[in-house]
Amino acid sequence: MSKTPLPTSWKEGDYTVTRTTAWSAPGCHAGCGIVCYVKDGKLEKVEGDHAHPFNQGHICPRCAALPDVVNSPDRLLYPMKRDPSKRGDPDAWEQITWDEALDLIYNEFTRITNEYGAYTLQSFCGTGRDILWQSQRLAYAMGTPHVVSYFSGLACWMPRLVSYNACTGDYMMPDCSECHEDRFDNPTYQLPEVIFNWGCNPVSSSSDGFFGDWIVQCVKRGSKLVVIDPRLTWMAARADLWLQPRPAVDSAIAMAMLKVIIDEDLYDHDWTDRWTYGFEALVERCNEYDLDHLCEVAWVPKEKVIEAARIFAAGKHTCVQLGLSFDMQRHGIGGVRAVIAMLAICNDIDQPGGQIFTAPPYDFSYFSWGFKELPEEIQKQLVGYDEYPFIRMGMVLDQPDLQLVQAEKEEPYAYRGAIMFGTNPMCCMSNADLSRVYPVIQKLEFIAICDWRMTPSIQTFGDVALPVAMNVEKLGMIAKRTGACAMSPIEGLEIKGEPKSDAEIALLLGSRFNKDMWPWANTEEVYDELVKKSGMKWRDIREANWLYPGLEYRRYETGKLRKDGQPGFNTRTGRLELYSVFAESIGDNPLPYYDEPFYGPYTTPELYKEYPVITMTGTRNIYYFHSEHRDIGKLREIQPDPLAEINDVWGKEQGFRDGDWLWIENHIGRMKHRAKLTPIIRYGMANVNSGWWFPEMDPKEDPMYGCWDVNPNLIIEPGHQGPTGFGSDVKAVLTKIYKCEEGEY
Amino acid sequence: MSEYGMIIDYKYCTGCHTCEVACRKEKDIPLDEWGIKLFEVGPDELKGKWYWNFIPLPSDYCDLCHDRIKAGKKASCEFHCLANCIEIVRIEELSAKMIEYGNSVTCFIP
Ligand code: SF4
Ligand code: SF4
Ligand code: SF4
Repeated sequence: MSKTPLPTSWKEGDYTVTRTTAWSAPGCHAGCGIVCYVKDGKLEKVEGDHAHPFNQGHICPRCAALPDVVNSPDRLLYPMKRDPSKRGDPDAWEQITWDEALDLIYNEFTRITNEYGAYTLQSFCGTGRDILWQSQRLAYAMGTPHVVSYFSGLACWMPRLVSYNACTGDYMMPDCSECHEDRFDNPTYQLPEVIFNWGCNPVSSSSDGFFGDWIVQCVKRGSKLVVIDPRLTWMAARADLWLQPRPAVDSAIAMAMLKVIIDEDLYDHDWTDRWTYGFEALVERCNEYDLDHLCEVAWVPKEKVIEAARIFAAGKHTCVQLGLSFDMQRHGIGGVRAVIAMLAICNDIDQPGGQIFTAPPYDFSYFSWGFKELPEEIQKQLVGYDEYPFIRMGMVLDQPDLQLVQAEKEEPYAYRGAIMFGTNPMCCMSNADLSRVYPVIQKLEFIAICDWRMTPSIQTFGDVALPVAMNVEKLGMIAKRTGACAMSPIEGLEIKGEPKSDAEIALLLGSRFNKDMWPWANTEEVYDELVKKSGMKWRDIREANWLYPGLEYRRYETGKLRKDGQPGFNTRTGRLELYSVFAESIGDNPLPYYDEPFYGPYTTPELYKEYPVITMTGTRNIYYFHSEHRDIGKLREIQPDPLAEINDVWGKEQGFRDGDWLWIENHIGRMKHRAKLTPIIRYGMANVNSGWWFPEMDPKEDPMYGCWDVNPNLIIEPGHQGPTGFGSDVKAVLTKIYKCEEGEY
Repeated sequence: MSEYGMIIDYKYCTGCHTCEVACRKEKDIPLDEWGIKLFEVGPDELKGKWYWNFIPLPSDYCDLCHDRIKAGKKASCEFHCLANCIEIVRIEELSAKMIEYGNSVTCFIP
């Protein structure tokens, strides 16, 4: 806080201008700096904040269109209720006051608690934004450990998080200078010599707190780029080297590269000796694999894998933007560990331009805030508590595949009620066979949903809908791994209706259920509590606009990675664990490995014959965040329909033309997308979108707004989670594809 | 003759469409018309390498954000571009600037 902060608010002609942070609602994981222009009480435009170190003024079309979202005529403005017997009926909603809504929720959940036990209640959370600690701490106040998303294998970020934690003691990111407030000008910073962009397309997705533009900035400045992706992406087209593996076998490529680095003796002996644990075991593990075989099953020429491994080892330093694709594989964790091992033995860990530790700043760690305050017997009811000890590490969520079975069988008990924050499970975050998820949600006796507009989920099974405030309308905070930013309602804005932030809703309900856990009078006090360890208050952060703690390198030498101040890493052995002692202690595979997906050309050749089209899922595009933004004209006109990318040569042979509606079918279901013929994927393969619905549809005709027809979660089979409970085969689905008949679209 | 020209350095244009949305917003352009449009060339395999470029091109709506430039600000598309592909410069500086940008660069004069 040494420098004079920039003004937070000022006048510019007729405009009142406020700089703030774009952190949910709507979207997104990043929380970029934005500047908001208000005239006559209305948000007129949003610009990127060029002074903000995180995004340096660059914004996606979604933030450029933020005023259209905030001013949308479809906002929920007041709480509403509907008789549970009238679910699906858009005419049965009735406006109520906040007090009525909160009483209703409290009374229903209390009735359920008295009749069946508080642990039959669930708190659904969407992807991690300003809704996560809220949904968790509220659940714990209600007396239930069940924070829920029916997404198989918690297959988003969590597998990478636990893998990094198990081997290195913390989460890691590539160093594109993002942790320095002065970015590329920082004197301790060095550009990565080599960047591996692996299994993601960050210029479209900016996922997991990594702003995609950072890689472009590095490449512009001279970093070498290697892309590993089954699709030719814009980045792959510009890469110095592109590997195009079969989808969902990234761990085969990772093991192959690791093997080359060890066999060709390309690693840093000194660093490996001094700082790692388990190198001999790692060598033995690599010896179990045959390089030719790994390359053959990955469908990548051996020469390319060898070239990639040599580039990796030669980089001073090399960093890896490791993508979602690793999470979307049952055995992706084996691949993540192989990548960590490569970074370690090539001395790229905690180095400038290498892979850096990025703990939440100032110790602002509030994952699962309050879980430990639950009585132990309630904690143990977390689904997967015994089966998957990894589940208890870090962010505590129920293991979804097991929970789905429990909910279906009602063993050991049935779930009875739920509240939902930042999630629209009919459209996304339910990658576990929607036709099984839908009935287990529908049979809950009472469901309250917080959102900023009507969604297929609210229309289909909401009993109470609570209107949520936008980022520009609320008090909040984001503890990004780069720095902390706070937001408050922007100056001059006239807020329409009575929306409340997710934090305020959680506080209002939480304090009714358990005053000891929610003793605060308002959300500012809650945030003060969250940042207490730093000696700061929420207001200090808001007034500073952003606070960057900065980043020191090679902290394993100075003892700053460990609580006890000893040199080394925050692991059991104090070394970087190529062989994870924690994994071993819970009976898990302690070393990097590769294994095949549950369904695939090698594991189920008969099924592959019947369903020969490997279809990839989960690809994001930049105009939409998950299931949001389909109602915003400026964005929707860019891509009006869900598109299946189909290899152009193969597609023509099948008689498909651009824009044709196609059925994409596997052994459990089918869904449709429009064809886009393109050379960016391999012959005979496809790639589909996610999160689609059609807000323009009349809910009287279909309360799901068409989402059921186009949802890839209909062809994803749950129950194939990885051996740790994390990771699941949701990336690559064996399908067949054929044209829709007339009348089917 | 325009006082300014737009340099479009498309080698790093990621195809994000932010310029389109930013221009629409700035100029209040209806959805069935456009102020700046993104064109996609490729992907094609040329000389054994992948060629794939996005290139934004302004329409007759574009006045190079005259009012913003006069107020000392950047044009809306220039300001928001995710990859710094767009720069509005004085017309007499166009060629010198383009040489500075190196390859894959073009320009637009309204
Ligand atoms: S990544 Fe894009 S949508 Fe998300 S906050 Fe940043 S500019 Fe906005
Ligand atoms: S300079 Fe202004 S008017 Fe021209 S394309 Fe860019 S935003 Fe639109
Ligand atoms: S904003 Fe920039 S990077 Fe994005 S499409 Fe337009 S010119 Fe390209």
